[in-house]
Amino acid sequence: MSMLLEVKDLRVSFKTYMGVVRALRGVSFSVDRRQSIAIVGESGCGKSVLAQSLMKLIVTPPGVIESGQVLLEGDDLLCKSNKEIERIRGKEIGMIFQDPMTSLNPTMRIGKQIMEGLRKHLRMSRDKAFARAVEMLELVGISNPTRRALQYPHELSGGMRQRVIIAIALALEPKVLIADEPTTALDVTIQAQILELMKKIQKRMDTSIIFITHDLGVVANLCDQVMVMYAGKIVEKGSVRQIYHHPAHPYTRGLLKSCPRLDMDTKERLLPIEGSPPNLLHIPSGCAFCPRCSEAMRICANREPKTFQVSLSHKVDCWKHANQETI
Amino acid sequence: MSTKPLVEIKNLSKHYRVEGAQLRAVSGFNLTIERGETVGLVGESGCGKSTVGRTILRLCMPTAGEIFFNGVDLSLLRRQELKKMRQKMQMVFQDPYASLNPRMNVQDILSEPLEIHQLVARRARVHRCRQLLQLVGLNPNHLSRFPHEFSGGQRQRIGIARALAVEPEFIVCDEPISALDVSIQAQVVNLLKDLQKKMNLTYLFIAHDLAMVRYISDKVAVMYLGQLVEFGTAAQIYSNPLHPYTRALLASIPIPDPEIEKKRAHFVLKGEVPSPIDPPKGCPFHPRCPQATKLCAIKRPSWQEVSGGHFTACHLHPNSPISLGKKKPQPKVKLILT
Amino acid sequence: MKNSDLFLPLENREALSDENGCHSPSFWGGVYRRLYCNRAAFASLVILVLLAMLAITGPLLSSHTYFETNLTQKNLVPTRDSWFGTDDLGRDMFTRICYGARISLFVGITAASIDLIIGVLWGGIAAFAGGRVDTLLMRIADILYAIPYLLIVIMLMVVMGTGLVPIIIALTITGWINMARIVRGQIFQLKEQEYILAATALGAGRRRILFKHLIPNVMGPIIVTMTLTIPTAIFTEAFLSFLGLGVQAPMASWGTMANDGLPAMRYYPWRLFFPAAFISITMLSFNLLGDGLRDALDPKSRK
Repeated sequence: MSMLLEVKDLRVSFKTYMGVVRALRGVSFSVDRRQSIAIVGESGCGKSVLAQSLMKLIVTPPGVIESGQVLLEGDDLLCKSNKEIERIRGKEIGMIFQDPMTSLNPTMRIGKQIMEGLRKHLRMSRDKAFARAVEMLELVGISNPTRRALQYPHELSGGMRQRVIIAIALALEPKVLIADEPTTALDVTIQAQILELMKKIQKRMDTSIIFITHDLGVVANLCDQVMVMYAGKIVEKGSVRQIYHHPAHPYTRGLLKSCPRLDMDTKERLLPIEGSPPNLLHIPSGCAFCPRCSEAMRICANREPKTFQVSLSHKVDCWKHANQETI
Repeated sequence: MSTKPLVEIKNLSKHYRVEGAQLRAVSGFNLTIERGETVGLVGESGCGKSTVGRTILRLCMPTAGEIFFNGVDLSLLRRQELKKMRQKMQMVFQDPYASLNPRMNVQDILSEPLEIHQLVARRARVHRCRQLLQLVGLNPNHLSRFPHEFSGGQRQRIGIARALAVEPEFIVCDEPISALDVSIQAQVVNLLKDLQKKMNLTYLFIAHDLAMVRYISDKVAVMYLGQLVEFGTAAQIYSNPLHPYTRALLASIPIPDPEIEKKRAHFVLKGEVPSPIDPPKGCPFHPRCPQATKLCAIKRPSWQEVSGGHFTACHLHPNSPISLGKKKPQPKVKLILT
Repeated sequence: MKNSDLFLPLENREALSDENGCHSPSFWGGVYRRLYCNRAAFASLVILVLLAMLAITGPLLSSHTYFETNLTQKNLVPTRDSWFGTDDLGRDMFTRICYGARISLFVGITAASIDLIIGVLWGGIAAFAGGRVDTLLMRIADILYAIPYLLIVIMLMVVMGTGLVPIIIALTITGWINMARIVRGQIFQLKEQEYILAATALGAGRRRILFKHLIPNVMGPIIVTMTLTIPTAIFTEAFLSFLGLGVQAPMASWGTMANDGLPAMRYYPWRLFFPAAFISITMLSFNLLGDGLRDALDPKSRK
C-alpha cells in the first residue's frame, strides 16, 4: 500500500523586489497512516512555507512552485485546480496555525466557525452541524461546550482558543493534520495541556500529524519520526531515538548541544552554533550549513551533499557520511 | 557577609484601574539582589515579571512599595539625580526588532548614551563605539549600518552594547532571548555570562524558559499572578521545588530526550492562567492547585524561610523549623539575610 | 583535486559567511526600489519632475511672454509659433501654462509645507504629552475642522482681497488638521515601542525622544500626507481663481485660464482644454505618487 502523503522534490521560491528567495530547494519525505512526524528547524529554514505548500496555500505571485509533487494517496495536489483543492482543504488535510489570537474570526461565534467546514464539505443541516460542533468542543476538553459554542473568540483564553482551532481542524476528520508551531505562542503549562490533548487525539483518531516546530523538547514528547530542516532542505531524517541519541548531521548535533536542559550539569557550558542562518537570497554554493560547520571539509564548500544512509530509516545529507570512493 | 545588597525591593505593588476593576499586575513583591549575582525571575504571561523589571528602572511608576539601589530610595530622587542613577542600571529588551530605532545607524545608537551623559569627548566617541561592538562580538566596521541589516541575534548584541555604553552596575534582562532562534539563544546567553565576569555586572534575568534560567542564574524567584511564590538558589529550586506551582512548571517542561520523556511522570496542570484583574482571594494559585485546602481559599499564605535561603509562600509549609526558631515573623515581609 | 583531498578540513570557512557580505539597501533605497516597481507611481513621479522642469525653464523656451497682448494674433489654433495657441487677447497659451504651473506648484507646495510644520508640531506635542494637553489640543482642532471650509476661505478672500498670499492663508487655515491627526495617531503607536523605552532608560529627556526618535519615524506617513495634500491645494487655488477670487490678470493661473476659456469652449476648445488637462494630470500624478509612496513605505511590505 502506498504512503498516505508523499512529497517529491518540492521546490518553491518567491520573487521579491530584492531578488528571488529560494524557500524550498528540493524537499522529499513521506508520511504514513497514523504516523506523527516532526519537522524541526529555525526561522528561515522554510518549514512554514512547506506547510503552506502542502495545501497549495502559497500566494502566487509572488510565490512560485517551481517543481515537485505532493501526492495524497497517489493524487498530486499541485496539479489540482482551485475548485478541486478547495474540496480537499479541510476535509482531507487540516491545518492548525501558530497564533491562536489571530487564527479565529473575531466576529463569528465559536460554534459557527466549527460548523462552517461541516456544512460546506459534508452538507450537514444546521442542527446536526451544531451538535457535532459541541461534540468536538467536548473532545478537545472544553468544559460547558454548549455554552462555549455560542461565545465569541475574545471571551476565551489563548489555550482555549487553540483547542477550538484543533476542534475546527479535526471536525472533518482529515487524513493529515498539519500543526504549524501550535504551542509556540502559549505558556508552558498550557503547552503541556495542548500536547496532552494531541496525544489523546492521536490515539483516538486515525489522523496522521505533521508537527512543525523549533522546540526540540516538544518533539521528543510527541512524535515518532523527525526531519531536520535547514535553509530550505531536509538535512536529516530518522526516528526520534535516532535523531536525539545518534544525531548524524553537524547542524542537528549543534542544535542539541545549544539547548539548555533541565537535567544538564550546571557547570557544563552551552555550545552555540556560531554564525547566523543564511540569507535565502544568497544561498552559498555547496552545503548551506558549511559556513557555520566546525567539521566542514573542502568538498562541502563546492558541492551540495547527496543523501546518505546512516542506518535503516536514518538518512542524512552530509559529506561526512559519504563513502569516499563512490564520489 | 555584611555587604549591602545592590537592589532591594520592598513590598512593591503596581495596580491599574481597568474599566472599573483593579488590575493587580504586581502585589506585595519583595526581592533582594546581591552584587555580582544573577537572579532569575520566572513565571508565565500575566505574572507581572516584566512590570517588576520596568518598575525597578523607573520606566513605570509603582503604586506602592520602595525600591532601593545601593541603599538609595529611588522614589526620592529628583530628575537630575535620577538621570545620574540611570547610568548605573540598564535594560536589555525582548524584541530585537523593536528595541532599536530603525532610523538610526549603529553609531548613532551607541553614541546616544555617551552624548546624554557626556561620558566621552566627541572626538573619542567613534573609537568608543568600535570598542563596544568588539566587546559584544560584532565587527567594528559595521558602525554605519542600520538595524534592519543585522540578524535578530546581532541586533540583540547591539542592544547589549548600548546598555553597556554607560558602564552600568546592574542590568535587567527582560526576556532577552525569547525572540531568538534556539542556536542563537545560546550565543547571547554565553555572551551575557562572559560580560558579567569581565565587567562585574549584576543581572535580573526575566524569562519564561526555565531551562535557560537554570543555566544562567545563581538564584531564582518564581512569580504567579503578581506575587512571589518561591525564592531560593538555583540548586534549591530545581532539585527541591517547594511550591506546587513551581513543581507544576518544572513538570511541564519537555526535555529533548525521548527516553527520558517516556519514563517521566507527566503532570499536567489543569485550568487556565487567570487574569490579573480581580485575582482570587487567599492564595492566588489555589484554583489550580492539586493540593489546595480550604485554608488556601481564605487566607493568603505568608512568606516563610523553609531552609537556608529557600523561601516560599504556601500553607503546605507552615511553621518550618527555621522560622519557629527566630522571632515571630511579620506577615508579608521577607526576611532579608545579611 | 584528488578525491581524498576533497575530504580534508576546510580552511577560511568564515570567508564564506554572509555576515560581511551583501549590504542590503538603506531604508530610502528600499523605498525607491519598491516605488520603481509600481509603474503608475513611478510614471507619476516622472511626470511631476517634467512639470517642475517646465515651470522653471518653460518660459525660456518660448519666445513669448505671458502678458504681452497682440490683438492680431488672438484665438489662434496651436501652431509652430504658438504651441498651445493663443487666448482672447492674443497672449501665448504655452507661456501662460508654464507660469500657471509655477503658481500652482508654488501654492501647492507652500500650503502643504505650512500644513506640515503646524500639523507635526501640534500633533506631536498632543500625542507626546498625552492626557489633558492632548484632549485640549485635539478638541480645538476638531472645532476648527467642523467649520465649513469654503465659507471661511471665501470670507477671508473678501476681507483680505485677492492674490497669492490670501489664498495660501486660506488653504492653511484648516489644512493642517489632517496632518496633525495623522501625526498624533502615529506617535501614539510609536510611543509604546521598545526603543522609546530604551531611550528613556538611557536617560533621554522628552525633547530628545520627540525629535530624535519619534518624529523621524513618522516621516513616512508625513510624506504621504503631504503628497496627497498638494493636489487639494492646487485644485482649491484653481477653483478660487476660476471663481474670480484668485490671482488677477494678467497673472496666469490655470484656474483663471480655465475661467477665460469656458465661454469660448465651443469655438476655441484649446483655450479650456490645456489648463483643464494640466490641472487634471497634475492632481492625478500627485495622487498616484502618494498612493505609491504609501505602499512603498508600508512596513509589512518591507520584508
